Amino acid sequence: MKLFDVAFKEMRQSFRSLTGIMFMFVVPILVTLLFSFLFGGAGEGDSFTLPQTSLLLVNLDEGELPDSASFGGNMTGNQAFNFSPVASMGELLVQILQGDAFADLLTVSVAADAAAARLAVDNQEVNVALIIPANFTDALLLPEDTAVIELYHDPGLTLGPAIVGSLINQFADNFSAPKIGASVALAQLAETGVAIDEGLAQTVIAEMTAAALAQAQAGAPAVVVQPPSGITREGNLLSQLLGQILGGMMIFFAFFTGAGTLQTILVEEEKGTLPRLFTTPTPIPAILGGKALGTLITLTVQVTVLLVFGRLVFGIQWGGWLPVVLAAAGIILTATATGLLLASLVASTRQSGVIYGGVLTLTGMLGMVTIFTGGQSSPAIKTVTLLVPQGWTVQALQTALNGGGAVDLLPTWGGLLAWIAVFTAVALFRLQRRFA
Amino acid sequence: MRVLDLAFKDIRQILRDKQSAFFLLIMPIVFTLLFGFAFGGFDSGDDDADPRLPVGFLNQDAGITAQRFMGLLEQSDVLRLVTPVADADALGQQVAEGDLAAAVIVPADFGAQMEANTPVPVTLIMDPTAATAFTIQGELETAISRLASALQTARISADTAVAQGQLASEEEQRAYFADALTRAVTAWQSPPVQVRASSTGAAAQTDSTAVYSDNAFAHSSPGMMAQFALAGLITASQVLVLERKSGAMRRLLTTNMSRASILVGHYLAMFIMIIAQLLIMILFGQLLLQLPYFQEPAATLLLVIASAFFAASMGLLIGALAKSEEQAVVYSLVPMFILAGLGGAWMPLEFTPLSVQRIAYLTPIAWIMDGFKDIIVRGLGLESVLTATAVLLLYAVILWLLAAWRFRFE
Repeated sequence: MKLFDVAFKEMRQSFRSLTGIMFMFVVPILVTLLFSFLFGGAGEGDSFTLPQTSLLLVNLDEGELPDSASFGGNMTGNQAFNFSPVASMGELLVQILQGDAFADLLTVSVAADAAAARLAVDNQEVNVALIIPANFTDALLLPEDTAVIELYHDPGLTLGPAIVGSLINQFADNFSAPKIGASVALAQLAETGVAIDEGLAQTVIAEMTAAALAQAQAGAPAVVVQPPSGITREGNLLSQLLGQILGGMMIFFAFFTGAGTLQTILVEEEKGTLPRLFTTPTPIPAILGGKALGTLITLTVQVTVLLVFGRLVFGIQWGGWLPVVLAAAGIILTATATGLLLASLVASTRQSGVIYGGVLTLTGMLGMVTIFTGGQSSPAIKTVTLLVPQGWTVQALQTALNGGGAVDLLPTWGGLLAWIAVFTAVALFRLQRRFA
Repeated sequence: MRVLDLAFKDIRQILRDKQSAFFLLIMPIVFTLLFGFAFGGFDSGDDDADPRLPVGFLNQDAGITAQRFMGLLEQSDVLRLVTPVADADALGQQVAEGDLAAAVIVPADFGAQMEANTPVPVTLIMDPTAATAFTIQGELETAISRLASALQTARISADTAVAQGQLASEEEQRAYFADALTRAVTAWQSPPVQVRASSTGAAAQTDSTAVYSDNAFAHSSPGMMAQFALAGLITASQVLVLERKSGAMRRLLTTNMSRASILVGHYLAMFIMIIAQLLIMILFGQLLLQLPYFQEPAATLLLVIASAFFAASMGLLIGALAKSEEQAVVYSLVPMFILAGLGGAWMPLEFTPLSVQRIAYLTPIAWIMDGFKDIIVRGLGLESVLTATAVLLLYAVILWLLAAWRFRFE
């Protein structure tokens, strides 16, 4: 019973601490809320929202389309366009980009000259300027002519220019296809001895243009994206991202909770209450065991509250119940063992500030590198994260988040057990010697 | 002089606390490196190494069309094909373990179906939430699209040749079709219209600057500098709490030192401490991370001073409000998390919706980030940081006045 008395005393003390509550619950939830806000937008729903890119168009195209050229209907398959008659391919590109189809991605405006557009980007008034060259139409019609569309962007940006670049490349390919097709076909026909007159050339060009339009109407080619083995995430992108963040914060601060709660061993030793307690009939193992049990209960409350909060408020799919329970148990036990080890190694509360503030932060951040990289870490980086216990707990939680089963967790649990066994053994050895 | 004495007393007290070194220097340096590495920091160091994303390529179709598709993908500036590979499961494993950025599986009937104009999907194994997912899928779609176009070209070319009385046998037609396909795929290496990306004038004018937008530390260095300028306030504000609790501040009031001088003395200590911290971090960024902070020394110095004024005012306010050392920790770390997260210290604000970006610029951290990025990424000079400096000084004045109003000497 004494063991439980000590445990509940420790727990009460933890939950009475303002700093403890802040780090156990408020900061992890606050940071997750921040990311939810950052990626989901302010009041824009609960899904990942791609930011809009401001695009300034400069159409310098001086070319003229022949009367016979006609473009109509649907250029990109999934998106409908209704074109007004255009005099050049530059005008056509401007019309497409100004269409409703891209209104969610782009805010498009038009400038008269290239210098003004570049200046607007330099002054960060727009993200990207797109300068359509004077020979754009000619490059698509005349055999030897080539043109370069300039995509001028703020070097501080990566995503917006990448989106615009991808769109423009797609259109440039659609526009280039008839010319490439016609030049290849006519050259090959000429080599086989066919006499190329204007009528034949026009026929080939018309067929190539029709084929290119048909291809454009068919939309983006079929690519089936399949997550790699071991990754079967549920929920939308935002909730997956928030799962990683809240999980990472939970692990990071769980180790602080473990160390902070067991720091009472040092505090009470310095105040003299612990030696006085040792003079009572309560055995030393019951006192220290009670402190460890109190830490375990505190951590269980912390981890459970965050997991449930994440599920209910952020819609995070943590994984199957058994893998999640195993991962949570791994976090709780490893954080407790780490707290015991630190309490046994540190001689005074003065030292503990440096240890808890520095070592736990460093090892915690190291263990969380795979969370920062969104799962794109190199094998070397992943190995480095496993040099600290936090890395193993992150791996356990990520296995559950990625849809892994209990069997998939076994190797990670083996590693966690090794950390727990070694830390606990060292801690017990040192504490026994200290209080013998 | 008494103001200086008080400031130096505070600084000595702060530096005696070993915790200070962690928050002031070690943690920002470690976090800068960590975030930088996480987002691709130092590469292999081998200039000849291929920087393209490694993508596994499993071709289950032995036909010429699939080979041409592979040829188109090999032209990519972004992807580097890795072949041969064992099987789809092994590929998936390599992607899961991070050995490959993604893997492409071309089905056995890919070529036949493409030639029949009834395309079958290509499988792309990758984590759809990965930062590179958008780029990889885009490159793959471009290659398939170009292949489809090349096949159309070959088909029309062969049909026209037949219509012109050429290619009597089926064998000749097949050879003609294959030749046209090869020519068309080759032609796509230099299409008539190309897109060339370039970046802003000031950065582009000097070759030395242009590369810094690719430096993964260009975000983490100013980000962590801004964040830990606030974290460093923990010890400084704790000094005020301790001074108040121990009665030292009350005793100080019995001397001929005015209340304003006491405030200024404490403020000066925090200011000097933060200036020193920021300058060391800038040296670290310039010398070890090769970020061009010294390219515009006046702009960098102005921004450092303005940031220090703001952070020190914040520290004074925390010291004024905190009743205990515990509260000083909480009052320092919570604003640090909120301001750093919202202000774009952890990740670029460009990834967030416009509404969030507008809110972010209500935080001083966003202005610090913007100012330093103007210098090290955009290659801009003194003029570019004037707005950021003005905003930071405004924050400094407001926070200082609040601190003076709420400051308890007893």
